Amino acid sequence: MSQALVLLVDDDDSSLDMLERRLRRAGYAVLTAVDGEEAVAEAADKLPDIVLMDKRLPRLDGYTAVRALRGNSRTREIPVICLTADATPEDEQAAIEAGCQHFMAKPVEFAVLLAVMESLLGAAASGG
Amino acid sequence: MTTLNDPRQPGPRSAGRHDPQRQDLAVLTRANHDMRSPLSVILGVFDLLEDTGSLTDNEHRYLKLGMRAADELLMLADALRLYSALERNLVTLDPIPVDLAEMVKEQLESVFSHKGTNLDLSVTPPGDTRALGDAGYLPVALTHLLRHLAAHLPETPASRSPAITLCRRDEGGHVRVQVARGEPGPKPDTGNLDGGEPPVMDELGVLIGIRLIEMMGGSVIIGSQPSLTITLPAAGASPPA
Repeated sequence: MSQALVLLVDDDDSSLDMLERRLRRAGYAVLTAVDGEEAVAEAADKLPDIVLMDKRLPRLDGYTAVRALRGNSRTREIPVICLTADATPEDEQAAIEAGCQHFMAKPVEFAVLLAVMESLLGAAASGG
Repeated sequence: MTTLNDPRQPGPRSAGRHDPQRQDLAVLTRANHDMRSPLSVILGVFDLLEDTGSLTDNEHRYLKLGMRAADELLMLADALRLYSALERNLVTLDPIPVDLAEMVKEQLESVFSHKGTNLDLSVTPPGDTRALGDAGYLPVALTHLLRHLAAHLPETPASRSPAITLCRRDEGGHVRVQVARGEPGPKPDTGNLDGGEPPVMDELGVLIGIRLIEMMGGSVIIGSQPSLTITLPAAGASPPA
């Protein structure tokens, strides 16, 4: 799926830059945000097709930001993948409970990330 | 079900109480976390470089070396996280019937694959080698222990390559699998392998492997030949207390 709009949220400049480059290279348009508040605002304003959300973020943590997205009728249906360096089953459970569709531990395997994104975007496009 | 509880969650603690060991473990957990973000960047750079498709053979070889080093760091991060969780009793295991010999064979092939070593993985005598082990953590324990064995095995001719040299279900209700050089004679003992200060990853891996196997009601003997003997309760035997 080319030119789907991805909102990439991470407070680590290097991680953000690297993943943004790889996503653009894979054919996606990419928006970025560096904290939870900015992510919620950007999502409501630009309505991305999918959000890649870090867990540990300043101002508003990733899970709280996802809950805010779910609480807004404009952003409620946007699929969210949680990307985090906290790689425990409890983190995964917390991410799903917050409203993320998928959870991936850093460092992610990029091919797997793309496959998950394609699947979620396909499901969203078909209303699933 | 296999559960690794969140090792970052503080347990009960008294106000003002100082627990150096808990603090050490929390530092280990943070170290794991803080290694992962830069590793993401490093692996991302490697992927981007590989994608250019214009690398010379030498550049490609350097890239592979870097990727392998990054994988080692990732294994260390994983080991730090697991060790910290084990030390804080935050890992819950669920032993189920697994074929110990088959699992050892799989991990042995995986650990030694990069060495190009010919392995003799015949199980003798053939028999019921089903044991009670956690399907998620047993492979982790075996990988760590076999990597330790691999690190201490001298480069040998194929005839002396690692093999399953003993595999049996004993009358005490245990399944025992021994891995050693593929030649007769290595007699297991309870001593540790000698030879200087071990790398952190090796030391951590052995601690993790032994702890996990013991939590499954089994035991590990690391022989100085070198050899590795893993014992687990046989499937059908009483589960570990």
